[in-house]
Amino acid sequence: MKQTPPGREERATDAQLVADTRNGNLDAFQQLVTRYQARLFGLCYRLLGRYHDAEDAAQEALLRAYRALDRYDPRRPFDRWLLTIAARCCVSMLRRRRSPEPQLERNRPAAEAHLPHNSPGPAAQAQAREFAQAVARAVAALPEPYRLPFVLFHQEEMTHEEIAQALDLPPGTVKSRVHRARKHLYRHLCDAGFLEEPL
Amino acid sequence: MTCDEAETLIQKELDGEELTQAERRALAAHLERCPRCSSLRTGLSRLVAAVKELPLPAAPEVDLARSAARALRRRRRRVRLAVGAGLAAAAAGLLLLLVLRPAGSRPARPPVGSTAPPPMASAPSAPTSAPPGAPGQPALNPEAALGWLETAWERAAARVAGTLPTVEVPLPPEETAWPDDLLQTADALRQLTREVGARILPFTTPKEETDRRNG
Repeated sequence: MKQTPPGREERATDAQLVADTRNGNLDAFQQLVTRYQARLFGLCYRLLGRYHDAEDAAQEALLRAYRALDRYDPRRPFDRWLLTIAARCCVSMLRRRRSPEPQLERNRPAAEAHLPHNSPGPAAQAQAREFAQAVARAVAALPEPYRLPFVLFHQEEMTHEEIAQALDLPPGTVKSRVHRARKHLYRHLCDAGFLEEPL
Repeated sequence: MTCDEAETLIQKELDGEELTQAERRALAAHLERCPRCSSLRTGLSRLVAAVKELPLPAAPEVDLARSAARALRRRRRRVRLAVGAGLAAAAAGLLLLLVLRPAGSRPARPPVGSTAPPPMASAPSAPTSAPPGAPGQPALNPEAALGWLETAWERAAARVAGTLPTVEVPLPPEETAWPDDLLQTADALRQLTREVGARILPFTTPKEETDRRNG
């Protein structure tokens, strides 16, 4: 196997490392992975919600990315490309779980029972923490068709077009699902007493 | 502006899209007189800000970079082993045909011939020994290991197919550090070659068999 030249590691751009990887240098690919593994795993964990599933999906995404490197367009940021592949892997994994896809309107978030009602903590810091925890639970409880676009848009900061590509949906559908997810979370947090909604 | 129109603009803002000056003015005017939409805008903004601040989960203990590189190397091997497996299947089928041949059509005992090029040795007798003349060979050379397996499968298949007079394979590299899948393949190969050696050696091609019968 080829070795990356000494001192090259710090200077190498993603495009250089991709080129080296295409020439069979697995060390170069390892460097690419090292750069993005935290984000990659974070995305998988946010979408899948299970640590080991996230690891598996991240691993699978890396292998898929490696196999697809010949089709990678160097003008596109490598991280966006990798994250799109990872999102696709997560979607595949979620489909394999064969869980029913609930409708947003008919389902209350599962975590609702654990959310405090009208019970903000005495300190602002505690309140903020409580709010963040409620938000995290509510996001996690969103039905998949809404949670995935929402998480990819707001937490991974992918564009509607990138999400559409990853989830195999029209961009308009992605946008409307993000909107509906926001509105649903807002109502849920209002009902739980974390946000105020005037009558 | 209606509340629905105001909500559309609020969502547009949260999508990161720029509002026109006219849209901004109209929305501001609506929010001043509509506490419901005003609360919606404040609440949604707070929600989105909180979502963006949610902490990333802790990085996995497994080093993805290393494990990915390992997985890639394993996958390369698997692809190559799949070639070997295909040959093995073909060899097994041919072996079965040969074993089922009438006993009279097979010679009695194996005078082991050797037409294969050196360095070679018969597979059943030397599966774990070091290659001759290579005492300082590294413990594991995956490429060499794969090369040995592929060559061995090819030769076993060729032997069964009758294009080689004996099963000859190069000595395998040091096996102690081989991954399990390679070891299993190597074991299967040994079993096959033992079968070939015990039942069929010496193999004669159909033409040789015809020549023998015709005296």
